[in-house]
Amino acid sequence: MKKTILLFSMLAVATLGFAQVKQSTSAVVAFDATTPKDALPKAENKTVIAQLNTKTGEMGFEAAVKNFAFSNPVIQEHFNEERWMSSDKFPAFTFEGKINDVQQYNFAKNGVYNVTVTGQMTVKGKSNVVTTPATIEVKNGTLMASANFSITLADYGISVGDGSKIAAQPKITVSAELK
Amino acid sequence: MQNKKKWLRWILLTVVVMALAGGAVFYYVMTAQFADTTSEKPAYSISAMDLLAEFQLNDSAANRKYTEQIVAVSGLVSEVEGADTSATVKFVDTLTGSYLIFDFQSGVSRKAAALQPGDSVTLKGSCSGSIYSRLRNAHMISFKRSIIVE
Repeated sequence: MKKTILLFSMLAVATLGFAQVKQSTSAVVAFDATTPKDALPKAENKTVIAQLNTKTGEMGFEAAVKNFAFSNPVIQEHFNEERWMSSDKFPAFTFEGKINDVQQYNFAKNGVYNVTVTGQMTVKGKSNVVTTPATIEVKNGTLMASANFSITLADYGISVGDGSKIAAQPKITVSAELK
Repeated sequence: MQNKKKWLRWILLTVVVMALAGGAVFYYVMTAQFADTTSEKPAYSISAMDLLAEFQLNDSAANRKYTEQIVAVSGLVSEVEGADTSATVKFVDTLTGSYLIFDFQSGVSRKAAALQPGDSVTLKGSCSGSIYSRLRNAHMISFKRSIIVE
C-alpha cells in the first residue's frame, strides 16, 4: 500500500512538473534587415524550438540558421556565408533567458500578461544580453508568446558596411504557441 | 584624328554595353525567386526513419550530403502543429526524441494543417540540415519550402 501511495505521489509530482514546462517546435522568428534601398534581406523561420517554465520564468529558443527562408536565393546564400552568419560553423541562434519578476504572474489563469524578458542571445558564437518587453496570452493552458525587438549586428561581429542596403539593427519578431 | 574618334566611339560603346549587361545581371539576380518545389526533382528519396537514423549516426556526414538539397521523405506523420496560415509536420523517432520538421511553401500550409498523426505521406522540401537541441536533448532536422507529394 505504502509503495502504491509513493508511486502515485511520484507520478503526481512528475505530472505537475511537466505541466509547468510549455514547449513548441514551431515558433516563428522573423528577421527584417530591409532598408529603403533594399527590400530583400528579410526572412522567416517557422521551426524554432521554444520552451518556457511558467514557474521559474526560464525560457529558451533555438533556431536553425539555415532554415530562415528568404524569397531570393542570392540573399539567402549571402545570409549563410562566412562574413554574415557563417551557418556551417554556427548552425544555431539561441536565446536563454528569464521573465523578470515571474512570481507576479499567474500563467495558470487565462489572461494577457505584459512581461519583460532578459537573457543571452547568441548569434554567430557571440553572446549579448537582450532585454525586451513581451506579451503572453494564456488561453486554457496554451500560452501565446510574442515579442518585437532589435539587435545590433556589430555586437555579433557582423559588418553591414554603410547600412544603406542592410539595416545595422534588424527587427526581430518572435511568436510562439506554447503547450 | 579620325582614328582617335573611332577609338573613343568604340570605348564608349563598350562601356555602355558593359553597363547594360551588368544592370541586366543585377536585375535578374535581385528579382530571382526560388523555384516552386513541386517542379524540383529530388536529389534523394528516403524514408523518414532512415533519414533520422542517418543523421543520428553521423550528423556531419549527413549534413554534407543533404543540406540545401531537395529531399523527398516518406513516412507516417507524428505531429502537425499550426493553423490556417502556417503549419509544420513532424516525423519523430520516439526512442530518441529526434525529429524531422517540415515548413511549407506558400499555398500548401492549409493542406498540411489538415494532415493527421498516423497519415502516410511523402513530403518534399529543401533540407536545412540538423542542429542538436539542448532544450530537447535531440536532433532537429528542418526543411523549408516543402510541398506534399502524396
